[in-house]
Parts: sequence; C-alpha cells; structure tokens
Amino acid sequence: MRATTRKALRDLRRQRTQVGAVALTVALGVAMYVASAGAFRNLSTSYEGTYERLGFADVVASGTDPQALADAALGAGAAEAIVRTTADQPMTIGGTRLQGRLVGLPADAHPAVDDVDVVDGDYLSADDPDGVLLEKHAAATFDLGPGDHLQVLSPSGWHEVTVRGVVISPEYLWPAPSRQQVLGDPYGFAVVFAAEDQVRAWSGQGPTEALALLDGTDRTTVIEAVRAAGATDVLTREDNPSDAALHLDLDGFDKMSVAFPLLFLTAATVAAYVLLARRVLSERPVIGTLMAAGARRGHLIWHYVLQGLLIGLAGSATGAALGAPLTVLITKEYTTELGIPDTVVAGHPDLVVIGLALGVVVGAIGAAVPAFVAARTVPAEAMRNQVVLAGQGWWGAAVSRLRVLPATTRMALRDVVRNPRRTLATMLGSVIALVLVLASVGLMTSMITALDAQYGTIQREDAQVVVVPGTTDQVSASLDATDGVTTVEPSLVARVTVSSGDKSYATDLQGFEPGTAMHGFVDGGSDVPLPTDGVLAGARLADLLDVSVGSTLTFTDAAGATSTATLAGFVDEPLGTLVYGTRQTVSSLVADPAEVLLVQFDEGADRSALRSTITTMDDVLAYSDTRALLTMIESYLGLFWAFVGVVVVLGGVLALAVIEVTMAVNLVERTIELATLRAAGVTVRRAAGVLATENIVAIIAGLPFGLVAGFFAARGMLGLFNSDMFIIELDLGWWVLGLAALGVLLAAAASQIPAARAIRRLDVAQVVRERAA
Amino acid sequence: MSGRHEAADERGHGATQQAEHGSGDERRPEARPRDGGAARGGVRLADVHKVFGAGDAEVRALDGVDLELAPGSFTVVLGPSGSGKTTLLNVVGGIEQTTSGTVVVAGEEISGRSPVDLAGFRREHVGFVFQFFNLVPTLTARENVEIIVELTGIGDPGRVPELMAQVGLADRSEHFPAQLSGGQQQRVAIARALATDPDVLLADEPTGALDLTTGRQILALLLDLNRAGRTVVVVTHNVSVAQIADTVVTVVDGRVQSVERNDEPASAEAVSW
Repeated sequence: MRATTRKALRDLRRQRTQVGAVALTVALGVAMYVASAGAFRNLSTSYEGTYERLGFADVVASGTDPQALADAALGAGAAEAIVRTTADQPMTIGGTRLQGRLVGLPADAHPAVDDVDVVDGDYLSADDPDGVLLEKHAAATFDLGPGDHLQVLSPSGWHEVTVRGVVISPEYLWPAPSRQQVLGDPYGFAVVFAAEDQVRAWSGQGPTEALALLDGTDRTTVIEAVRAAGATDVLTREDNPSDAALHLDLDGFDKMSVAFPLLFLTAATVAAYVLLARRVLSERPVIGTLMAAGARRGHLIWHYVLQGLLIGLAGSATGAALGAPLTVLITKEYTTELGIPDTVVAGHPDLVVIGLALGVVVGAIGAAVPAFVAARTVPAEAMRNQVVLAGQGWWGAAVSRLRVLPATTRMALRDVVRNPRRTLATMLGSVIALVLVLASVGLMTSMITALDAQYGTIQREDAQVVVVPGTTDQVSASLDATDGVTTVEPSLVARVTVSSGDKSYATDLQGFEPGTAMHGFVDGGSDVPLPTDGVLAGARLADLLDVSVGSTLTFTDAAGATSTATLAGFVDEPLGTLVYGTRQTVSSLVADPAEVLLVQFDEGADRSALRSTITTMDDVLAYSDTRALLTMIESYLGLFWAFVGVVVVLGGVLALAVIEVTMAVNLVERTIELATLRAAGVTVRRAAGVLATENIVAIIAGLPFGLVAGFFAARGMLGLFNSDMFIIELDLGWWVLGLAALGVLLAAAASQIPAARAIRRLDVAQVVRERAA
Repeated sequence: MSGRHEAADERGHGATQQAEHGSGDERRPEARPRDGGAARGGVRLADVHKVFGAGDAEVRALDGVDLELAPGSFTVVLGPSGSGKTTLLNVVGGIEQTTSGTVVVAGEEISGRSPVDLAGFRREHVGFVFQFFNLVPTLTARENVEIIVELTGIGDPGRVPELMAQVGLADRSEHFPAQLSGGQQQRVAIARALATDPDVLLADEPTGALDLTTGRQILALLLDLNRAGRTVVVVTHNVSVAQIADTVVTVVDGRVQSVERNDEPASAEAVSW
C-alpha cells in the first residue's frame, strides 16, 4: 500500500469520532434517499400493478345517457367501456347508520373495468341476489366478514343483505367518498358492491356512469368524445379521490427523497469540508516540507480528496446498506396498512449506486477546497508556523472602538472575521439546522392550525345527521330533546358538478340557514356573510374553473338537471373545495338535496353514546361524526410531537456536528494564543469563553438567514401538498421561530463543552516550548 | 578558524563574493576528504533583493546579495535573528521567489520562475531539513521517506532502506515519530531530504531543537553527506557550528557582511553550545 494511502487511513482513524460523525450524517442522508426513493418506486409499481390487474378506469363519465357515453368512448378507441350504477344510499352496519355507497357489478362475472379483488369469501352470484361484497376498510372498521349482515335503505324501506365477500377495489384503496372528504369519519362511510340490477332497484336509479379503460388510447380524444356525447362530468384516474389521496402520500415520499437527504448531505459536505480544512491547517508545516521537497500539487490534492472520498464512501455504503432493507420495510408496512394486494418489493440497484455516488460527491466537494488550499501552500510561509489571516478591515476597526469591552471579548469579536470560511461554515450549520427544524415543525404547526380553523372556526358542528326527506322538523325536535345535544340546525347537501366554460369540478353544494351558527365563512382572515343571492366557493375553485367573483357558475345535479348562480365570493378553507349558499339558494339550484341536520354537543359529551342514540332514531338515515378526524389526530398527537422531537434532535445534532468540527479548527488555529493565555494563568473557563463568544456570534449571525430560509423551506414543503383537497397555509408563530433559534443556540452552547475539554488538555509547556525555540 | 574570500578552489571547495568585508588571504583551503562522487550543486546569487510587504510595512529581507558557493562546498550562514539568513536559504532552495536579482543553483537559473517550475526544480536538485522535523505523525520513519518519493515521483522507493541505514536508523524504520528521539526524528528528516537524491542540501537550524550530543551527531551526518559531493548550506545562529564549515557567510540586515574561508574545518565533535 502506498505511504499516502496509509497516511490517509491512519489520519482518518485518528479522528474517528469526527470522521464517524460526518460519515453518519452521510449515511443518514443516503439511507433516507435510498429508502424513500425506493419506497416511492415500489409503491408506484404496486399501485400500478393493482390498477392494471383490476382494470382501474382511466375515464369515468356521468350524464343522462351513460350507455351513449360508453359507446362514444369505444368509438374514440377505448379498449373497454362499461356502464354501471353508483349511488349514495344510507346503510346500517353493526347498528350504526351511515352514508353508504352502492356500486353495481355484473352478478356472475367480473367487470372489464374497475374490477374487485375478493380477499375473503366469494364473488357475487346470480343465485344470491341479496349477497353483497363489502369493501375491505369498512369490513375492518365494523369487523364484518362473509355471512354477516347489513341493511341498505331502498325505496321500499330497509333491506337486509348478506356479506358474501370482502373485497379490495382500485377505486377505494383509500376509502374517500369524494375529494371534499378525503379524511373523514371511518364509521361514517362504507362501500358495498352488489349486483347491478339490485343496485338499480335499491337506489331507484338506472346506470349513472360510464367507465372506460384506454390501454394506450389518447385520453384527450376519449374525453372529447364523451363530452360530445353529453357527459356532464368527466373524471380521470387522477381525479379519483382515492388515487389523489394516495398520490399525495406518494408525492410525500418523492419529495422526501430529495428534501431531507439534501439537508443531511449539505450538512455532511460542510462538516467534511471543515474537518479536512482543520487537517490541512494542522498539517501545514508538514505540507510546507513536502512542497519544499517539490511534491506535485496533483498528488497532494488527490491525497486530501481521497480522504474526503473515503469518508463519503464509508457513509454512503452504510447508508445504502441501511436504505435497502428500509425500502423493503417501508413498502411492506405501507402496502399492508392500506391493503394493496399487489405489493411489489423490488431492489433498486441504481438507487444504491446513486446513493454511493452521493457519498462520493459529498466527500469530493467537502475535500476539494481544503485539498486545493493544501496544494497552494507556500512552503516558506508554512515554515514560519503562522496562519495567514484575513484582514480585519472595518470590522476590526469597529471592534477597536468598543473599549468598554474586555480585551478577551474584543479578541473574540475580531476572530469572527479571522477565517471567513470557517465563520461561514458555522453560520451554515445554524442555517441548515433551522431549515430542518422549521420545515418539519412548520408542517406540524400549520396542520394543527388548519385543523383548528377547520373544526373550530369553519365547521362548527359536531355531527351531521342525514334524515328522511321531509322529516327535518321531527328529527330536529327529537335531537333537541336529547341529552348532550345543545344546538340543532337544518341544512341541505347535494352532490353537484360545477362548471364554467369548458371546465367542470365535482363537489358538494351545501345550504345553511342565513346567519348560521354551524359554519364560519372566512376570506383573508375576515368573516364574510352567507349571501342571500349567489354562492360562496372555496378559493381553489378560482384556479380550477378559471372564475372570479361575479362569474356565473353552472350546477348539474345527479339527475342531470342544470341551473346557474352567481359566484358572490371566495372562502379560505383548509380541507376541500366546496360551494355554499343559503338553504333557499340550494333548493333553487338542485332538486331533492339531502336533508342534513347539523348538531352541536355539550362539551365533554359521550360522543359514542350520542352516536348510538341518534342512529336509532326514526327517520335518521346516516350519521357522521364531523370531529372524528380531529379526534383521531388528537389521539395521535403525542406521536406527531415525538416525530417533531426527533427532527428537532436531528437538527440539533446536525448543528452540533458542524459547530463542533468548526470549533476544532478554531482550536488548532489558536493553540499558541490559548496556550499563552493558559500559561499566564487564564482559567479554562475564560479561555473557552473567548472561543465560545466567537462561535456564538457566528451562530447568531447565521440565525436570521436560517430563520428566513427555514420559513421559505416550510412554505415550499406545504406548497407541494396543496391541492383542491388540502389548502394549508404556513403557520409559524413567533414562538416557534424563537424556540428554534433558542434550540440552535443551546446546541451551540453545548458544543462548547468539548472545546473546554480540549483547552484543559492543552500541553501548555510543550506548545510554548516548541514555538519559542 | 582562518579564512578569506576568493574564487572556489580547483576541487570545487570554497566561495567567491564581492562583499566589502573579509580578509585578503590568498591561500587555498584544504579539501575536505571526499568519500567519492563528483562535487555537485553550487550556488550563485547576483544582486538579489527580497522585499516583503509594501509602504510603511516594507521589509527588505535581502538587500543586494551577491554570493557564490562552489559545488560540493559546506557553508554555514550565520546572522542574528531577523537578519535574512532563512530568507537567503529559502531563495536558494526556490521556496521563496526573489523580488529582483539572479539566482543560479546547480547550474539552473531559478530567478523569475513560476511556483510550478520552482517545484520542479526542487524535486530535481534540492533537499530541505528544518529545525522542526515536520514529520507526518501517522507514518513510520520509513514511510515518511517513502511519501516524498510518492509525492514527487522522483527517486526509488527501493532505496529507502539504504537511506535509513545511511542516517543510522535501519533498526528504527518501522517506528512512528512519537517513538523516536528528537535526534532520530531529525535523522528521518534528513533521510527524507535525501530521498530525491538532491544536489544541494539546505538545513535551517537543524540542531536548533536538539541537545548538544544529538546536535553533534546531526552535524556529523551532514558532513558525511557533503563528503559524498553534495553542496550543503546550514543556516544557524550558533556561531560554534561555523567551525565545521569550509565557508562561513555572515548576513546582517539582509546583506552579506562577510564570506570567510575556513582552511581547517573542524569535526562535529568540536562544536559546542
């Protein structure tokens, strides 16, 4: 082995703690990259596998004549096109009344489009007309299996059916009733598949939609064809609420595979740079000697770059080794949790190679500057045993005027510009830590603020009760008389397609009492009244339909009837993009909207008992606990904060790693001064104080940049998730910014401890003797 | 010590200079017994100036130096602290560029060359020994010599054991610097300087960090290397060391104050401090 290689290896071993810290940071970054990018690919492949096997529809068109739409799709080149009936019907499962969805399937054969995968029991049979298939999530929520019973409301009353099988559907991998209700009460929604004839009978509707599978056919052509054939609403695969929700998750993996590794690898690059800069500095006389002997610059550069590469490679090899099994673990856990049947757990050698390369790049970049500095060492200067310092300039002059400060403080303040690169590295440490902390905490605080707004200011009801048409007053009276219920208010809800020009959007139209106590309408932080004429819409509708206040919106109801209303204003709502009007407005826009009673409970009321009481009342069709999501999130809040805690700790560790390494360089630079101070009787505490002051000044100088960068990073991350389903504004309170800054300062303060130890270990006699000779 | 300033003797020993000081003795010095090998190296400086800084901060480290050292000579440069003797050594070794003037070492003019060219020159012709040994602490004695061969691409790694033996450290080759005494470390530094087989060996206070006994051993080693034909220049503030030189140059305020020929150089054993 070459002497230079041996030197490199032994040097790294001598600094194994710091080398280990840098390598670990690289490893974490690479592991995150390999695991999240691999999981993203596996999950995408898993979804696609399920979609392909079960023929997940590419286009779903609804209109008055679905068969004509299916024919049009086939005429435009679709590989398959079918018609079916989908209807939202009240159901009773396990004694709970809820909003169910009936989906029609062929009785004896699997459909060519939007098939189901029977995971328990049997498929439908023409010999068993009352046999149905229950979607897996509902089966799990209500603990039902083959042979169990549930009730479906039909025009003739409640009809008991038997569960023949439990199924997975590509349309409901995530059980969302609509894009407006992606996150909701699991006890408030269930999907039941039944024979098409039965669904038509129970819902009183004919086929409601056409489903097309394209298999390579141009989608735009098919969409244009079905629109020309009279489609009032056309949804693509990406519009499907389940697919959209899952893609939000997938996008999270995708973004995470870039953002977090980038932060860690940047920190590792800085740490590697500082570590090797320190090495070059401490080896300056040796390098000077080598240069005096005529050492070739290229060889010297390679010697130091090699060390960077070894550190990076050690980290990335560890990271890749961790990332590969982590990919498998994440994929399996995720697909199992969601019940995705076609789990693809593949290895991704290219990601491992990229991960390894990332480590190499980190090492090379981190080592490049120190290596070039080493190669540019002027032997004569190196022999003088003096560090070439940057000029003090205006800063030095300004500090000189601060005569009220002790000399040691002035020295520390001047030292801030002594080595600008090191000071910048220290500042960068605080910037990276703040970005990591604020981006994560910002996500969490914004989410909590959004939920508080959604369920505190906007949706003020505790539950929604769907009642038999025409029974609003009776049920309202019964609810009023129920213990635990404080307020009851009638409302109307209708599933509509809103359109303007050639753009349309399927959503819910809700009607409230004028001056409703159940819903707050907020625009730009100010309350807006519910207009008596016209409608309010979620702000995202402006982009979706390219409309503005005063535009005319066209509403198409489930029966295909259309009407128009003026857009009177927008509202800011975190969850979903809905349209609101008074009950009178809604009644005038759609025929037969669902009658829904909005209910508020006493604080501390037993919600489970109230659910049982209300769902057994006469004329109650369905019940949904509005706050189920909030309750669920609050139950997991400890877990969320634990996650935030881990991220904050990681941010602190990153800051510590960078600051610790930069301070080690600081110590090397100033060995003579510190030894001289110690020789003069200056205490370790005072000597360490000089270093600490300099570091803290650099950290404080980095704080404003870190806070600004962290703010924009948090906003950018939130922006990635915003859509018509979620519109979450960044909420980073001053207290969050203050605590984050304080945390970084504490991390910096903690990193002074090893510095004090190093000063205590300083062999004053040796240093003074060597330099005085 | 007796001496004079004049042209180099016909065996290549001695020095010439145009300094105003010095004796007028015309005797040629006795040649130092040579172990074999032709005299090599040689140094010539003409009107060399080296200025550090500018304006009020200007320091004239070398101020019109004229000096000629014959190939194979053993020269000691004396002078008080800050006189410019180390700068003179650095200029001769090509690790410091001159502000003006001509420098010829081992037959090559190096004044005005770029740093890259100077590095090439050093690889081919010069070896340095410093007061502080500047050994790589994580490499053994042998590896400290090998690394020069690797980084310069000059010399034969197979010759390293021979060099270690030459400096008397054959049995200490695998020891790390921390396991060696100061004198042994300086020997390693000398072996390192010899790794590229230089024509000129330049030593800056080579005994400055050593005790008397060890210092004598190092000086004896340098004398041995000079006998092999190399030009050796030793910079020191220790007047006693001048006894072993055949040429003694005194530098004061950046100027050569005197160049004296020592007709009867003493052995290293005669040195004391």
